[in-house]
Amino acid sequence: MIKINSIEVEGFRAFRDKISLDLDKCLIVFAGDIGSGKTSLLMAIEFALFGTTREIKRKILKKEDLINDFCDTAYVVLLLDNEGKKVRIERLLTRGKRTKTRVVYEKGELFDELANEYLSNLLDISLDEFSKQIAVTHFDLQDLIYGSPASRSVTIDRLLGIDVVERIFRSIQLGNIEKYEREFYDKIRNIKYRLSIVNKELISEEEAKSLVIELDKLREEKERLKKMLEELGKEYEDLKDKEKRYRELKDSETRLLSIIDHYKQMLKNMGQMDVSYVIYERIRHGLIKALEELFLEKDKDEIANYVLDKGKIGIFLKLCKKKIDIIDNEREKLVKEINELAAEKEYKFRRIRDLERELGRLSLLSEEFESYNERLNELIDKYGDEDDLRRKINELNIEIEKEKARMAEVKCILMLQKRILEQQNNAEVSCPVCGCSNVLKDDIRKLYESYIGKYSVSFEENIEELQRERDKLEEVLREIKLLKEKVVMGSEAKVRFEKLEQSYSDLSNELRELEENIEMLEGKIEKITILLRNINKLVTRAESIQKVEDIRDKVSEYEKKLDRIRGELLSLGFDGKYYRNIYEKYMETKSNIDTIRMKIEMLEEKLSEYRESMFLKKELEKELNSLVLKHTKIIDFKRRLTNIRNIFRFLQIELRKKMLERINRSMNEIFRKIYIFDDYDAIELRLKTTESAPYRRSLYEIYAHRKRDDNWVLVSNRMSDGQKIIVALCLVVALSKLYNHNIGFLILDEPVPNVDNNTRSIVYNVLSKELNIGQIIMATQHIEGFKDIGEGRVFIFRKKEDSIAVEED
Amino acid sequence: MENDDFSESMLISKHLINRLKDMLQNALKEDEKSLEIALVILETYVRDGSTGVKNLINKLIEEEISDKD
Repeated sequence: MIKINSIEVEGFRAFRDKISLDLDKCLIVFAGDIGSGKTSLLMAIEFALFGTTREIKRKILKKEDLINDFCDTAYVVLLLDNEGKKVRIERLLTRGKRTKTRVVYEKGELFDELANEYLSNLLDISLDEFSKQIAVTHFDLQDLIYGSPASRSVTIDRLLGIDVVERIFRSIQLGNIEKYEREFYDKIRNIKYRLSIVNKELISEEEAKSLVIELDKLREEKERLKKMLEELGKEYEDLKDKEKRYRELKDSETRLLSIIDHYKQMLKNMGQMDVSYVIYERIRHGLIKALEELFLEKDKDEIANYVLDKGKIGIFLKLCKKKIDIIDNEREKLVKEINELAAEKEYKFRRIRDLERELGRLSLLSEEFESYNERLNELIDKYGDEDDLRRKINELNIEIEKEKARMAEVKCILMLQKRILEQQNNAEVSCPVCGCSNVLKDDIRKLYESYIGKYSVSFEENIEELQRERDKLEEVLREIKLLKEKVVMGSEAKVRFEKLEQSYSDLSNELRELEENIEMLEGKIEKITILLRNINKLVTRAESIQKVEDIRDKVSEYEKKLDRIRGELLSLGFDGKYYRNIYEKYMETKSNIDTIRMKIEMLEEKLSEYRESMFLKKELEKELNSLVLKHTKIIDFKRRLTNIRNIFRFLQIELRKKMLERINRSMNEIFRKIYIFDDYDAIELRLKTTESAPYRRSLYEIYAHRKRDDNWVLVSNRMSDGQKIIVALCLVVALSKLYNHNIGFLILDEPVPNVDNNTRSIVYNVLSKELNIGQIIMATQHIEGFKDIGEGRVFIFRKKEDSIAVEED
Repeated sequence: MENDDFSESMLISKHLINRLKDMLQNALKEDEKSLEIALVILETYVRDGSTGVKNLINKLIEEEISDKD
């Protein structure tokens, strides 16, 4: 049997610092408050043995969660005692790395995989079995006490290691099968519905057979008619060609008759035409005259020399027309020439008008020239020429100046005398100039003033006279100059007049010539026009005659053609009535064939529909059969699986039943030792089986024997929490003792939380001494029950700031 | 799965598996096909857990409804 000798942990869960504990006693107690590291140490034992823990397996924790938050590695060393042989297990867990394992045993040391293999063989128990049978947690006990009957049953099964049967039972799920079952059922119903519709619309087999017979008959009839149509077709095609030719000939005949009638009507309307050659000679004569008039000798000779034969009349007329065109062109040229001459005439006419106006003006100037010349000669005769007049004017100017000087001199003398006399004071004075004496001043003044006035008037009159004469001469001089200019101009106008008069005469002659030319050309044009009009009339008539001739020829030609067509019509021997008869028969047969074809198509369609429906029916029936088969298989499979599930339930019940007797015996043995009170003397685990559909079911129930009334009562209903926990502990320990394995220790995490210290002490004593378990490792918050523990070791766990302190009590 | 982990099959006792097989054979000795299925389910569960059994049942359903035969 394997027992634990010592444990050493560092960096594992709550233990940051290294701790080492000797566990080489039958009863080991880890006591301490909540969170003081008791459970961590139990977990360290599990980790050392299996390299993992149940929490990791259930994914409650990750492996790295085993490492203390303030460390990078977790190190656990567990020393086992296997019947005196020591086995040292070392596990080193590093963040992000695999766990390193080392096992030292009597034969040496092993590492990692080999070490695990060795341990697996040594322990011969799985982690699951370990967690059920060796390391019982308070959760399991709680479940046994307070769990529902179903959950209690699961827990007991788990502790018994037979819960796998229930899990297998539950893993056999029928949901998918039922889904398929429903699907198939729906599909079958759908196909049945479709089949019912197909059957409803489907005609009977007899009807289908009669359709086939009718179809065969129609096909035979169709073939017969087709042969008939073929024969008729051949005949019809032959007759069709003949009919086509007949129609063409008939059309040609009709057309020719119509043309001939038309021409004959034309000939009738045209009446008797003069077909003598006189008309052509008249045309020739007219053309010759016209060509002569235009001096077109070559053309004239061509016409004149043309020999007229019956066959050449058409050519002659063409030639005549050509010549008419030439004449017409020439006439047009003449008209153009006349227009040009008329334009020239107009120009010259305007020019003559201008000359006439100029000549009129110059004639007036010439007349004035005569009168100016007479006046000029008159003035020259009277006053002399210009030089004489200038000379006389000069002389008069000199005389005027002299007179003015004389007047000034006299005036001066008189004024001098007056001043001298005025300067003398005497009243009576004599003139120093003239010697006049005894003259009073006032008299002198008056005298002088009268003299001055007298002389001044005289001189001024003389001067004015001279000036008037001079002005007159100057006026005459100016007039002479002007007249001379006008006379020169008049002389020039006279010369120009003469010249223009000559031009006028020339232009008048030219205009006259032009007018004569125009007149001559107009006469010619008129003559040619008349000739052409006559010729054209004659040509038109000649053409009509020619046309009649042509029509007669054509009529003759068409009549010959008509005879030929009629001959061909006769030889063709086409019978319209027979042709129509054949045509009608052909069309009727064709129509009959079409009707039969339609009937055949209709029947074929009906038959095709029948075949399709039959095919669909068969397909649906096939599918239905397949689905029914699958549905049956699925139902069968479901039945089978249901049966298997039931079998697993049966196995579960059987397994449970087989365990019950042994469990009850062992459990009562423990109960009687632990339970010191006298109200209950036995407990019993029973199995309650129900047969409710679809599966059988069984549940564990724990009963206790009440001494007072010798009755079995349900533990869950009648016992206190403390009593219940003792019963649960008995059950757990009994279960643990059931198993045959190498593990000689039992780990209990808080096994009796709700009992008094005395009972707890009894429980611990019984567990350690009387049950022959080997080694019990217990974790509890209650230290009070360990006073008389005897051979055991009690370790007190205390939280100390950031570490855990463990001391042996 | 890491090398130092135990396989899921180790969660179930070999002894129990053999016991269950014997009991199944005994209970289904009249129904060979059901026995065969039950044993396969048991083995599959031991090997692949409940997911394996679900997959197995789906596979068996597919086989049942396949048009092979």
